[in-house]
Amino acid sequence: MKLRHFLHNRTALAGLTITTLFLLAVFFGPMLSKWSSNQHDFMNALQAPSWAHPFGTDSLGRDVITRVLEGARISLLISVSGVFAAMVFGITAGLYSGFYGGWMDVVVMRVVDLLFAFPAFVLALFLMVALGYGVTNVALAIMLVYLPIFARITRNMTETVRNDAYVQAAQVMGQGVPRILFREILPNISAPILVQATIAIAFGIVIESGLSFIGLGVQPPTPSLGVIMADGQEYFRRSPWVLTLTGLSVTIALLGLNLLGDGIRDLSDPRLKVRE
Amino acid sequence: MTETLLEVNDLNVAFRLASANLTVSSDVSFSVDRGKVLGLIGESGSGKTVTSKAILRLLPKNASLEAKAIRFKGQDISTLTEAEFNRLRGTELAMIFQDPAGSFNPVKTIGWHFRTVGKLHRGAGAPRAKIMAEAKDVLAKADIADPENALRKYPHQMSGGMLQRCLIALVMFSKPSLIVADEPTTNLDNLVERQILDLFDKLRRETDASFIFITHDMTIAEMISDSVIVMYAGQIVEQGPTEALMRRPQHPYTQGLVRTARELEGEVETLTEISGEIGTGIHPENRCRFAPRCPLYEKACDYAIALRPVEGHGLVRCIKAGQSNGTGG
Amino acid sequence: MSELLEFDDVVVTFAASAGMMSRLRGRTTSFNAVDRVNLSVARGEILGIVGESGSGKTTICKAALGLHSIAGGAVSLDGKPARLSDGTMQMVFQDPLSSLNPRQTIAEAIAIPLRLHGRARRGNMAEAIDTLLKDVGLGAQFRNRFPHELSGGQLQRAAIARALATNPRVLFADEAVSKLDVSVRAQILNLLKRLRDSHDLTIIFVTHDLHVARFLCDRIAIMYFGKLLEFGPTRAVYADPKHPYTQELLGTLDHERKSVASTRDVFNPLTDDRRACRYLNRCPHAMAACSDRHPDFRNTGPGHATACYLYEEATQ
Repeated sequence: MKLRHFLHNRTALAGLTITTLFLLAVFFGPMLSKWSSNQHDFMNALQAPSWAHPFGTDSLGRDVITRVLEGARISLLISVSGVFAAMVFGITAGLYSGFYGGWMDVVVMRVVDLLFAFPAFVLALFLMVALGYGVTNVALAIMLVYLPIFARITRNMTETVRNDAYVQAAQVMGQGVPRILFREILPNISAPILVQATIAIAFGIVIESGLSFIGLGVQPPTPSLGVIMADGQEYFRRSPWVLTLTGLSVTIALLGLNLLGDGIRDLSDPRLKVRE
Repeated sequence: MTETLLEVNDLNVAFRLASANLTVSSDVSFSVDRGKVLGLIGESGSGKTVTSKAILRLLPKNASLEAKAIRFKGQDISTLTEAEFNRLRGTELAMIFQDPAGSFNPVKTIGWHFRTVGKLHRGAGAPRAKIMAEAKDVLAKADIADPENALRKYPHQMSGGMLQRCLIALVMFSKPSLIVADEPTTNLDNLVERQILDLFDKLRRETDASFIFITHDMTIAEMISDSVIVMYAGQIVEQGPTEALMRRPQHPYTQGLVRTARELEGEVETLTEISGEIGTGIHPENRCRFAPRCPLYEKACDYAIALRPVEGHGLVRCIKAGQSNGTGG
Repeated sequence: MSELLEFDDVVVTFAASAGMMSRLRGRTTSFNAVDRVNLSVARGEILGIVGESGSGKTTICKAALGLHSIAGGAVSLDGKPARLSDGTMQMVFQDPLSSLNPRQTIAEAIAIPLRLHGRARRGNMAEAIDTLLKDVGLGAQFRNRFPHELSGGQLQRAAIARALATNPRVLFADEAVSKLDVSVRAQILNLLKRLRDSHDLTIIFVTHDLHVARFLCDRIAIMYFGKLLEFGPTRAVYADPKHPYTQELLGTLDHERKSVASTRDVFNPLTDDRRACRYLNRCPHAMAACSDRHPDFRNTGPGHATACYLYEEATQ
């Protein structure tokens, strides 16, 4: 039933299609490719796109599309795990601080304000320098960038509904606080959180690419979108397709996730459903 | 001799929704005499507010309005341009809303509102002292103890009841001929509600303005109005002089409302219920809309039923009207 | 009559948000929304708490249910301190739509308290839900509907069914019919009266509607700015109101009488003297004692008590 409503919403449908194709491509594409992402072939370095190499080859003669697909998978996994961790901790903190208020709220929100004071990418940069390079630390950096955002959204939404009659009714019924927070309140405030999550995943990819691009994130030879673009940038004058086509892939993935986010927002309200 | 001030002929209002067109008011016709109070009674979804807003052209963008004619002082105002209508709305027609705070600019004093309205009506050159003297006068008439002080205050510095008085005074200040009051006492406490009702009662006797008083409360309508219209699901189901209608309601719905009101005033063990609830959304066109809830329902109710006159009473939309209660059929 | 629920000197304090300047000037920034209220509710009765906005009538109920913390005094059920999580006290709210979680179907909403209080298991859940729905006059077809798909009266019935799911002994109903359409009010009022008998309920009905209070309630408590002013059998209070405020309030029912209500200012909890009688400003009978101290209760008839200096203090 949900899927049917999804299919009637053009934004959601477009987002879902692009995201699904993107996911299928990154998880199954590299298997179908006859090249591997680290197969060097110096004879065919920096070739323009062709049937054999749709995105061309890079300076070491590696097939760019295979690398982009595999890199995108790694970028996506890093971003998703970072955002997921941010959601778990951010939402929990936000629910409790919005529900109880008082000193707890003050402490949590001041910490959040502190993290907010830095631009996201500067914060990520700082964390990478502090934590060191590597895949796990990129995910950790993404988590720390998004944790305050989820905490704040959740807290503000919780504060608006905590005095609603249905929350009070749940209290009167004797439901425990965790149950009220996660079963009564969370489903009602989930729409903006889900929208934020899709956007966060999209920009988590950007953060990962950015960090790897300047050499602070994923380290070569592991392909990630940032690593590939850093490579392509060096030879941009001779073979612009490496950077351009990789960048385009990132853009399409972001577009898909953002449309999906908008669609979820439109559809997640049961009041919008038509009765059968 | 009575003079007809407003005459509404076959008013239809529909809302265009994504899924369908929702008719909220169908074939509504009535008239208001000069100096009289018309009580418009109905529940949520009855179309009472929409009908009155349609007359004042205050409907949202997705509403469509059709009417044979809406005549005000003999002139058909449904054909006026927006600009012409605006002039009329500022001077001859006025509306008092349920929430008085929404009708005031929160960052301006009460006095500012009177000055603004004063300039609009008495001309930009009208002496300020004269406007303010008149404002004090009309505030005093609205039972405000210290008009001087009230003019200096901001809306948020006043209680709901005081603000509603100020709004009524402000409306009376522009000397309109017709005032539509949409549940003006619903959000007020008992004592203040009673005071505001008393004020309306006083105003209708002291001015020659006409009122359309919208309410869901039978006893309030009885107290304040000369004639009454009862609406149900977008249609008028009964209309007539207040006293006759309250004493011998003809439509089963009106009978139910009056009975409940009377029972609550007296002492009973159990209240007589009207079963079911008003349907939301689309109402069947060719059938009595009250039929699903009606204790007197029979086959003949499954056809479109017209309003028809009942001797010494008014108009009733029921095939059993005019027969004595419950024994018909 | 045996007393079931007792309010003993209950105080609920609200902090008023005041600007820094008034705080520096030493103006008080909190006030008692409920101020030392003593009230006892008999088993099986419907007690009406009547008052205007700001009277504390809703606050005292929410305090009894633990939704507001009590700053002083105690609420006891059957002589023992009221426990808040055992479901013996339930509440029906003013706006039925917002009192039901928009993400839960009616069946889900009712299943939660049933499961929580061990009144039904997986096997007999559907049956238990249907029984509750039937008790409040709803058919089984409403089980899988969401709140926004129901009309006002149906929603309030569903909310009542959910409240009954914990098998409560006391039901608080906060303006439970004031948002409903006139033609539906009678249905819900009759339902509450019926449920009182069939489910052995004690009902505390909070309202500002004087007609509704007279129809439904056995006894009436009149509140004004946190103070209980008068308390007694409904019939006695309506026939012969003792407190000047009750007289003014009930005077609004008489449509023939003109200008019953005083236009003087009401009590301001932040600026007026809190030791004085709350009704002092408006009272036509104000005397010297009224500004010294809020009067204690005096016996003004069988089971009828009034907090006013106009009446003799009982000597025994």
